[in-house]
Amino acid sequence: MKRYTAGLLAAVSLLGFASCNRRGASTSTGPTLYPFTVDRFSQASPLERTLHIANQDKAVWVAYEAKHTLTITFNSKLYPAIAKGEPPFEGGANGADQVLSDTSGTVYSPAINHKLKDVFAANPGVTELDYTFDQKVDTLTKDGRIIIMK
Amino acid sequence: MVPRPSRIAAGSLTLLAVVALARCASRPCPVITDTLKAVTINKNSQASPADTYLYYSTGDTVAWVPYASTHALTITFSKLKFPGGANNEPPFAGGTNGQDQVFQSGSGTLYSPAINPALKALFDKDPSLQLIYPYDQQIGGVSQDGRIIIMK
Repeated sequence: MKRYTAGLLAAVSLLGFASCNRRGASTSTGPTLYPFTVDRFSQASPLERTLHIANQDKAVWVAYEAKHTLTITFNSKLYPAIAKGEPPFEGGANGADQVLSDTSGTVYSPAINHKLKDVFAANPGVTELDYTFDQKVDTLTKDGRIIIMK
Repeated sequence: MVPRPSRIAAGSLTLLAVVALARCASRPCPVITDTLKAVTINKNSQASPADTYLYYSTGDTVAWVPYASTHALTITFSKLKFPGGANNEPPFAGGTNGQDQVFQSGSGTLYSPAINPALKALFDKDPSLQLIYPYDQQIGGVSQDGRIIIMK
């Protein structure tokens, strides 16, 4: 029986490690800037990033070459319902698309929308908010995702 | 009866596979398709990741991204730290044999050139070769170490 327990614990540990590796840091390690690269077909890599409010994390999108206009659009219709129209980052307006764009090829996100802290506080069972975005280099558009956690 | 270790291992692997499949079904699992590797540099000049792996065969390049767009960034590959197997060749195109290779941005992201084509002959000679190039990244007067590892 002990061997079964040990095997199960090992499996759970591996799962935890794999999950943290896939989604980025799971513990508070200070502010982290998480990069997405965007290739010439507007494909983002990785497809998703996890940002933590507590860490004051931010995201940055980097086009395959400098001086290509890069546009990141969070469509308000795809905001998580529980966020009640709040966009993912500061500087946006409730119920409106949030668009980040730069002609240099690099787009930095603002800080995470502080109102999302209230969303988590009002919904203790909610652990993450998934925001889908479109990234566009030049004229092509593709999907990506930001996951915001407490 | 005492269970055999192989049964424990099989059970653990099955559990891992089932949970992994479930996670990928709920949202797309990341697929690395890009040949541009991004390295972010924080306020303390710390690079993340510290080690960046580039493949000559896939035309990989690297972009160093400072924590804020207004910050100047300097990346220096010291000739004294070029790997022994590189015959004094710098890591990227545009450098000079036996000389430091330095990249600077007045502000914001710094893109590397392509991997030095002179390294191709070394990889053709020894396909298992790994060339480890330490570098200093500097923001605001603070220097820290990072590494580029180039493979075939």
